[in-house]
Amino acid sequence: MNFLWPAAWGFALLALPVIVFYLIRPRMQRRKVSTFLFWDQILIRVHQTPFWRKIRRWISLLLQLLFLFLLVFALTHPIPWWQEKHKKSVIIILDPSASMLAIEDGKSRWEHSIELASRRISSLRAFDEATIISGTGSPKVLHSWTSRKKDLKNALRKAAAGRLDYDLRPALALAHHLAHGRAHPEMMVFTDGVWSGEISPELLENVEIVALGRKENFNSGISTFSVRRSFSGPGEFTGWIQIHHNSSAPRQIEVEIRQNDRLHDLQTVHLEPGKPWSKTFEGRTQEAVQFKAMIRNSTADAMVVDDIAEVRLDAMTPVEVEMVSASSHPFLEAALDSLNQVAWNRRSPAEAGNQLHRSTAKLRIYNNSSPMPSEADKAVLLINPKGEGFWGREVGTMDQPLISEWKADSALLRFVSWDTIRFSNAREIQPPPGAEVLASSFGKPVVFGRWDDQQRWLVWPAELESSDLVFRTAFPILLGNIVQSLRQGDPEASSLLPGSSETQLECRLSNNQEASAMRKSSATFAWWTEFPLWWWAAFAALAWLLIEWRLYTRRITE
Amino acid sequence: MASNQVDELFDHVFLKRLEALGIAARQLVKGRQRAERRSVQRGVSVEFAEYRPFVFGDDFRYIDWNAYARWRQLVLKLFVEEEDLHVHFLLDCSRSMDWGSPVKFDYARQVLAGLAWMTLSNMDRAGVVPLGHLNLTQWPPSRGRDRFLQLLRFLAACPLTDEPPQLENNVHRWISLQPRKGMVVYISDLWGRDQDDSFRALDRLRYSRNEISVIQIMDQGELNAGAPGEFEIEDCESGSRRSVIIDSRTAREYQERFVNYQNALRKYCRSHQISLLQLQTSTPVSDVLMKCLVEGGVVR
Repeated sequence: MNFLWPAAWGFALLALPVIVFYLIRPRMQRRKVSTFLFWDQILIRVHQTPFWRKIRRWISLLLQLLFLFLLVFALTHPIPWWQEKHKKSVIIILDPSASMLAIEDGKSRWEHSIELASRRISSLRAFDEATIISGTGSPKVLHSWTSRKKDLKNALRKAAAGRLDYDLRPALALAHHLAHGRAHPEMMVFTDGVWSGEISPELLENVEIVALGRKENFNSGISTFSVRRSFSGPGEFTGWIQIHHNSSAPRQIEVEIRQNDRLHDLQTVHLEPGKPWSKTFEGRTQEAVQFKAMIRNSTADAMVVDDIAEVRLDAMTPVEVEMVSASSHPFLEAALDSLNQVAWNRRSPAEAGNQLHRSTAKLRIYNNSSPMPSEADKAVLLINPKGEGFWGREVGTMDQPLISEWKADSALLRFVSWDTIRFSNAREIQPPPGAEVLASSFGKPVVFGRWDDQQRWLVWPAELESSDLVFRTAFPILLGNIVQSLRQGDPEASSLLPGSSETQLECRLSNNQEASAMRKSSATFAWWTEFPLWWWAAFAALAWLLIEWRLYTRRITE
Repeated sequence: MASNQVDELFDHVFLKRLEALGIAARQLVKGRQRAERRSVQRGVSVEFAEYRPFVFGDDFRYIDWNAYARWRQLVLKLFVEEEDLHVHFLLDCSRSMDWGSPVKFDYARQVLAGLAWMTLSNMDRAGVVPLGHLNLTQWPPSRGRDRFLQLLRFLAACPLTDEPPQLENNVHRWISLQPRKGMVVYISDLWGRDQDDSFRALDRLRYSRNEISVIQIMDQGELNAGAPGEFEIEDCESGSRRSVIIDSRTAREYQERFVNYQNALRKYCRSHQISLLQLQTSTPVSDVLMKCLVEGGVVR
């Protein structure tokens, strides 16, 4: 056994005056009586009391010495032998998912987890250390290694649940990393078992799971609510809502969808146990729209946060197109005018070159001109480019080419028909390595380029007037596909959820396992471990003192 | 501590009250002859008592010849002889009397003085016998109120004895002196060497064929065991000490024994027609004396 303050044993010397006072028998109060006539018989009975009654005084001395010893023992702040070994390093992982907000027995799972974690911190010994990690997508260390219980508990109080970006796997990996090198690590995760994905056994190795929540929860909640722009038409959107019902009994609810606080749809839904319900809805608007889905007429279930979901669809913004052409091109201009939400302007090649760095256009169309090499990483459509560049090298001409093949499944060529498109002539350009040939004329690339996340350039190797494209819809459709593909990169839907979530991506409110809880192990901390040994010693000393006072003062003679 | 100063023991207030009691006593016996204790003796008064057959040796001058003429039998005519009463006040001088507040011995002497005054007022003889002393110094039965002051001085100078308590022996010692029969007023706390000592003493008095009255004097503090605690009690009489823990049970047992003893005394006196007056020193002496006078239980 070790003692944090061994000098306190000096207080044991107080036993000497206690013993001396007991040895020096205090003179009893003397009282004169007129006669022993009535005392004689009583005194005979008193003198015949049991032996232990006669040594009552010495028992009192022993009790007082014991009290003194226990008090001194408490002052030395003892560390029992079973605790002085193995300094522990405790890693506490909190699950901040939205399901932890489920209310059970008057308090949420999150509150319960905080309470359990706090109790575990209270049971830390003086030389133990602990750290707290929040299981967010990017794990957050709420408090670094410390032995100060007060700081750890403060960090617990400041933690919050209801995160959508929760993922215990990185937090567990971090915990294993922190535990590496520690002599006696102890990892604990406080969770209700509703995880965003499967956790590998390696991550759960040597991890104590403190399971929270009931196995069976009655909860119906919106698991998915998303809206995105539809490419079928300008301004069109498609929304989707999915509701999960976790209960053994069916349930009837009302689902209300509002668009900019105006009722969009109200539907009575009959939920079957274990079967999700979903619905799509459509509409058209080019403005920004706020959608809100609510579950109405629902009796209180385990989680109310998933009864409401909001999604915001941003307004369609015009795509800026810059046409670089020495002169006006009526067909091209008309084609650009025909597209919705396109703001175009024309610049001469010289102007475009000078103001290249200030240009905010998302698409540049070079008509009979060539782009600068630095524009290789921008979205450009090259019509009849000359010379060579990042788009390839001119190797000759094609006389009256006929498009024999094209990739109809390409997003750029959707709804584009190259049938019987005739050219008078076209340049034969050798595409650079990595370029994709979208249309060819008997093996010779006609429409080619790269249109992916890294580069966006497309080449049309002939003048538009040299073909009958001006009379066809192919080119405007192609142009529309190009513009539409530029819009797909923008965030089109953002979800606003109750709570502190601020993600801008389309996301799910909760995963499909929201209502189920796996019970792996439940840790219970004995309440007495919260109190150190010295506290118990002081308590025992006080109890002894009360017992001694009770026995001695009452002077029980029976 | 018992007082031995006359002025302190019998102050002028006390004496004034005695004077009043004396007047009251005389008023109560108004119409009677003084020294009314009668005894059937050969006397020279005019009041006829009875006839007695003449036997050889009687004085023939008292033969009633008229009765002889009538009955042809020699008889003597007897007359009532009025004689004064000898009241013997036996005062317990044991150390147990030197206890209490006021001290029982002082209280006893005051009561005795009062009763003696009433006795003397009745032209009876009052004598004081301090019990407990080996060499008994008595105040012989005397008559006349002019002796009262000397009696008070005697009482004031009366010492307490250092002998161990022995009520029976003290009484026996006095009886062995063959005092004149009369009335015995035994003033004591009746705390003997054992619980039967007082009864044996009373038996002795009964056997002496005196008219007995007992005045038991107690202090309030003797009625119970006292405050609880651990004490070393010391006996006033023997000086011995004992350690005792006074708790509720001890107090209860003490009370029980005390009450039983008192009841036994009362029962004994009742059964043997002994007048018993149990007093506490908290009762004023004048009230006691008035009670004795009016109720006549002790003093007739």
